[in-house]
Amino acid sequence: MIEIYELTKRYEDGVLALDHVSYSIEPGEIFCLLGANGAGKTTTINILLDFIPPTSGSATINGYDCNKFPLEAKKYVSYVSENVQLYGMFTARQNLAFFAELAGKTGLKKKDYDDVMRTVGLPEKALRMRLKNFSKGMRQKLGIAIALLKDPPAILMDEPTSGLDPTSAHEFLEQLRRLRERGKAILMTTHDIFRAKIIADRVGIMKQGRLVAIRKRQDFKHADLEEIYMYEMQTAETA
Amino acid sequence: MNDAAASCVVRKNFDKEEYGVIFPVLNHRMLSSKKVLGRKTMLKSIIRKEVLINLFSYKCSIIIILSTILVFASIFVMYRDYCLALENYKILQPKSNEAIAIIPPTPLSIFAKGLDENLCRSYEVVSAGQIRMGSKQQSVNNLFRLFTTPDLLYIVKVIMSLCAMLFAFDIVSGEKEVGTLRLSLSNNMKRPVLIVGKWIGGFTSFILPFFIAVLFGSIFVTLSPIVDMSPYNLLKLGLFVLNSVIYLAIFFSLGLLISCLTHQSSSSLVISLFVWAMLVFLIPNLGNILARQLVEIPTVQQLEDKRSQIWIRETVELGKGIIDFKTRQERINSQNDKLIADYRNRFDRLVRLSQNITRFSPAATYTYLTTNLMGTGILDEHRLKRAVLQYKDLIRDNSSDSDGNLVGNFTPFSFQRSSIKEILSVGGLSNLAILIFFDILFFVSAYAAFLRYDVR
Repeated sequence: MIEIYELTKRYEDGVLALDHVSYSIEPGEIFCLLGANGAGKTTTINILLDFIPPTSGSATINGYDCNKFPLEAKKYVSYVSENVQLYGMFTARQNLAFFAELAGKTGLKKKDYDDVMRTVGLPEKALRMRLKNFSKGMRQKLGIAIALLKDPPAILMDEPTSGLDPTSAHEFLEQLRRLRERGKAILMTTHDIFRAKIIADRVGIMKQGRLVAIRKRQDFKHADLEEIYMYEMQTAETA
Repeated sequence: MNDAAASCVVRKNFDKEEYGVIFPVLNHRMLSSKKVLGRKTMLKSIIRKEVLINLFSYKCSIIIILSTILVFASIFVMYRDYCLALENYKILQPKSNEAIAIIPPTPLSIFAKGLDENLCRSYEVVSAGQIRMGSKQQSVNNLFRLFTTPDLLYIVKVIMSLCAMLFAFDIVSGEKEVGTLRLSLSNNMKRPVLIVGKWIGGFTSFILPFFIAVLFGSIFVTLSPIVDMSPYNLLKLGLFVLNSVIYLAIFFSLGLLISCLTHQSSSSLVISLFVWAMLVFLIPNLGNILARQLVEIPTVQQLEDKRSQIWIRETVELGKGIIDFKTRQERINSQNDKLIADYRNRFDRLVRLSQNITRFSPAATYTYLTTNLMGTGILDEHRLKRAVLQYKDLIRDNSSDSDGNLVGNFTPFSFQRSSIKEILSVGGLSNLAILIFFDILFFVSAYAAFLRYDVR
């Protein structure tokens, strides 16, 4: 569903943000990208959403090159950002309706909104609440609700658990499991090794633009992912 | 990579073939109409969202309340001013044995006072070659001399233009800060649709309350028994409103452009205020000062001194018996006429140069166009002064005795303010074109900047 091949990005100031990175994410898979700040995790998402062009290589979603056919590619993807702000003066329903319309979903009924709110674990009455009164956890859930209304086969999440309290983060992981069950291909960037271990089917470890390792679930299911992460980082350093 | 690229090509071909087989003829048209419909829906959503966001925002509420109060207050104050000016005119109306040129104030001065006080002063032909100017029509409020006349023109030019920039300064950079721009553009939406939608939605929510306030103000003026608003004046008022919309669109587009060139709304605000001050105050004032440096023009006192010198010189010659009384009068008249003609030429050159320099500012261009349109501008002042000089010549030729004294009844002075056609042909159209050019320039620049805008 998401294919990244030899993806390289060098910024105008000469910084190499991505260095020949390749991997793919299948439907029903959660792929977590781990790495320090500046490792190139968000740059990957930016290229997938056509916010920046790659220097070389390609990134495709559902077979569409994100740089050559960005509008086609974006039909098949939703994005959940680190800090879902949305429009504070709008109610949840107005926010949902607006972003659903941008995604090409028109004529949604009350039932559709109620269903999606229930799915993400928000009370139906929250539909009438203004976003400025939402907690961060609630806003994050609404971000997922927006992604669900679009119902694309792929979802990109940029540090979605950052700043969430433990309960909200736990509920968020539950949402991810449900999305995986629905066959979504999920690319999630995170610093949170603990939660990546709980939810990821595979993890990619990035360091200074390079993908230094990809580990499958069976590799870290009974091991300490943090140790693996540190080991890979040190190996990359010496290499 | 090859697989991915191949799959992309295969999918595209498949889509085309699939539609092509079923609807071989309508294939292309259907696909494109579907795209257009999708884009229209998105555009409508963005416009609606912008209008709602603005309606809910405190910034918008404050600006709407402020502009509404100002528009109503301005129209009311200027209406009272006009009523008093009209009374003043009725008092000053000349009798048949007075050679006085005076015109009534135009009801349109309620909206754009311009030079109406100058225009409505009285010009009395006192002797065959002399004109005595009456004081300005200080009909109303001497405080207007200390402060700027609070007419609608001033409100639009200064306050509403600032409001337009305050409306637009964070339209893109503000959305970037809160992350909604990224979220919007993560959908299959073209950037041009977003920027056009934002412009339409934002400008509509800004201009609509102002338009309604002006409409009610105009109805109040039109229904007043004192004000004689002819259909032609209403047409001019309509053009004034249209002109104001074009002018405010410039500042809205400029705010949008600044928003597209910055990444923080605080930076946008500072730059917007600076640019606004430059365009509304600095360039018009500096332009006038610069023009004064380039064109030498005598002061009124210097002109009077020269006149006195002419009079003394000719009187001395009369005393010496070189010329007779009639010749002295003719020579004084002729030299005074030359003096005035020279002064008028220099003054016209100064005005032209000043106008050309200040046209870099939309505020100045808007002022020239609007005041001319309302009959209170430089164009009508120029025409009136020419008409007064012609009137003086007429009186001198037809109603003066051999000693130059005025005798008998005088032809009444008549003057028609410029028609729309005249205004447009004498610089009006080029001023309008400049305003539209600014509109296009700033919007296209904002559009181009947004296409390259880094949403990260």
